[in-house]
Amino acid sequence: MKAILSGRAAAALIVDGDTWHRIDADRPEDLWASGPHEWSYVFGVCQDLQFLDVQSHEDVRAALTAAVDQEHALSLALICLDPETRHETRELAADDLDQIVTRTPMAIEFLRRVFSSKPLPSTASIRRARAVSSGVAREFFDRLEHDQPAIARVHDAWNALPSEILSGLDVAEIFAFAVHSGLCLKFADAVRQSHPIEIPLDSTIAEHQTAGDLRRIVASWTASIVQDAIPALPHHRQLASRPPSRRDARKPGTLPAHSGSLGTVPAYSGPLALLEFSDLLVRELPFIERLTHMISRRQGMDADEIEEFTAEVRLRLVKNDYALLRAYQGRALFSTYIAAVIRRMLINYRRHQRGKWHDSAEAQRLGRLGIDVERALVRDGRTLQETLTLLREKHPEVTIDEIERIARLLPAKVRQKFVPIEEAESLESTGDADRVVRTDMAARISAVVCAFIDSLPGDEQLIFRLRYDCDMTVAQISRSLHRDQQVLYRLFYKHLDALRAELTKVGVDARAVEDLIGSDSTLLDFRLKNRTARPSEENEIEGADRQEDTSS
Amino acid sequence: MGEAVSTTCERCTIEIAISAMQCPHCGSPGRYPNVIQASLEAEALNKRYEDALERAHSAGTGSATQRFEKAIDSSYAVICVKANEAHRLVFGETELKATYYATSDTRFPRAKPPTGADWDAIRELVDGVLFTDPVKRHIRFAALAITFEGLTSYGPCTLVCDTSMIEHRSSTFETNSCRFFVKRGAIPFKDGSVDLSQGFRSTWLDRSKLCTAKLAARLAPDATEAEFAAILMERGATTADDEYVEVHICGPMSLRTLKGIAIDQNAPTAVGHRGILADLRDRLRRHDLLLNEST
Repeated sequence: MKAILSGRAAAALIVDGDTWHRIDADRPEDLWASGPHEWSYVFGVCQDLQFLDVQSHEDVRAALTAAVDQEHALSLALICLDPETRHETRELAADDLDQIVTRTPMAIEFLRRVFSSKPLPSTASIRRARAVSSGVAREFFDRLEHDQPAIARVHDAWNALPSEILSGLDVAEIFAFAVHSGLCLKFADAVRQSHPIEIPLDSTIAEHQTAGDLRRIVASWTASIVQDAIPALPHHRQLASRPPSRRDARKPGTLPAHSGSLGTVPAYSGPLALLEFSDLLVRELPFIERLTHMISRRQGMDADEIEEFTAEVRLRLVKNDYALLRAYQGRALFSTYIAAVIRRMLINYRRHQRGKWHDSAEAQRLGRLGIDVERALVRDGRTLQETLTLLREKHPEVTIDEIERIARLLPAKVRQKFVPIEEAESLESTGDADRVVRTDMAARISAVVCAFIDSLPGDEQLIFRLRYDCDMTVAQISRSLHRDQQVLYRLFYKHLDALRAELTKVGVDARAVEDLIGSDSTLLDFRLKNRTARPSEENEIEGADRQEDTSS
Repeated sequence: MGEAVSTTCERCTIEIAISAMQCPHCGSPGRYPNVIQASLEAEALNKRYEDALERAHSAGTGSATQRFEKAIDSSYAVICVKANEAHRLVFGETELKATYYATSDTRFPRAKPPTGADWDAIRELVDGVLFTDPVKRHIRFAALAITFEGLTSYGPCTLVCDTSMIEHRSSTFETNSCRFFVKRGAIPFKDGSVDLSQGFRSTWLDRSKLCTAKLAARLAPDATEAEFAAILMERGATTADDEYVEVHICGPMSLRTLKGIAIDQNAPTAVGHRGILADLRDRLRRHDLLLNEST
């Protein structure tokens, strides 16, 4: 048995073989003889036709009642919101609305979907609607008022959807489809509640041809919302891209990330997502550079160094498909996060330039002032006057005599100093007698470490390289290589114990290594960079070569 | 009713399909295929009309037929809809409509039955009702009425069209077109053994000829205006038994297309209807479009 029904026409035609009947929503218990000749008069210009395969007339009555209630609910809600409505009529409409949505709960969901399409116009009288309504209708208007900012954000995001994504598609149809499938509402809820985003299309809608188009554009739409509407978007995307954790489960109302008949929106995956990160970086770059300059200046870097470091920051932010931006989880403000990233980069940058710094035992004995003086004078190569200027903020009582006194107590250390190549020949050798000894020690240590690393399987060599050459944390390596973090830790402990034993065997103890790292770690060379390139690096190199070939 | 499939454009005189709403060659707009098709059948209609007049004079109802024709000349196209639909039309003039009714309206394109064995049969029937692509999508169906009361079994609100807004794009048909074609075996469409006689449709201006051809034989010599109305639109025990002259209006309609709306006093007052009907009456009064305020 087939049925065609329209909530707006408030009628249904039932076709059973050659027999046609009509059910009128005003008198649903009656079954009228009918025929195809009634089609135009029953449905007129109504657009909301539903085509159903049904088992009984009761099925049709139930579907018709629901459809009519939805249509009535929409009309009544609009009557309540319209500023031209008389007060008595508004009261009557609000009362009808409450009764309808109470008996047909799906009507409320329908209203919420439709009203999520656009923000209410400024002329809408939502306060008057709230004032005259009660029960479920009142709850609906309360929530509608509360949701307006989120609905406006989603609407703006829709309008910002890149036109190239929509080329060839019926934008109005796609949008209407998004509204009626509940997607706009879900986005609004996600914006308001900081929930993961999913696409809940029911089975009938999912079969609609528009669903395919919708699925193709929804990732981009998500990106638009992220850019324009959700400041902490990467957090949402990350939530959407990983299974829910126990922590998520504790958050009230958090939705499972991989539910929904069409699955979760793939968050920031694929080239479109990378484009979004590129845009994000371009947009935020002025701020990031200001922040970099500020942090660098506070660390006492000069203009040339700041410029060099800023270039390094830019490079690191785009490295590995914007890995640092993608790692942002929204637990703090983006500015806080990026400041922490830059500080960390600065430490690595300095370590790379000068070797890892270790405060001397004497400086530690002298206390905070001793440590700061040693860092300024020895590590950073400051003059006495510069050191005094730098330290006055932190140690207001310090004098240049006091700094000189401390400097005399500190052990002699040699710091690597970068000079322009043209000035290198004119520099005097330090003539440090200990340097020969340290160089010999460094060579022995390097040989042992290299032999040890060479003895490891290829994948474990890669892990060492990522840890000590790329400065990746064990957690980052774990995520990158899809290896269990605890297993990696155990692997490191095992190998470091073995390495310590090897060093001890050749007469190198921990203190010797520590001194060497603290004074001149550049003498150490574990040949990490000279090992076989990673497959991804090979690809990158080949890609770069190809690009160069093309461009030339 | 052997339908012509082509005609010539009045401007460029090149042959074009009757169903074309715009000349594909010179771009002349404003073509109404239903009106063109009706005008092509004018000769056949005139023959039916003259035969009817001759019979009326023979039967002594010539005077009544003249009065009937005069009444038909001032008849309206009426469409009966549910209160909800009428409200949408009226409320559609507001800003809220553009925001929410528009979204709701575009839920799915104007639907056709889905494909599948049984559905295909239904589609064939329904397509027959609406003539052929692409005209059928633009045709609104109405009934011809002398009063402001339409076929209220389809809905308590009678939309009465403003004649000046539809006369150029409307045609009239003998009866419910689908039933007409079904009775003649034209639906589902079969090979050429079907009786498709001409003269059963007219332009809007010739509607009195069509009505006379159809109904003159039923007029009594002393028939009154009220009886004319009842003869023109005969309400049966069920909607399947309704008999009326069908109006085909080509193109869109809005509130401005209407002379007004009459609301049946027996309109349902169940939950959902009360608020909508109250608001509908308020708005119609405000626009001076409530046609039966006093009744």
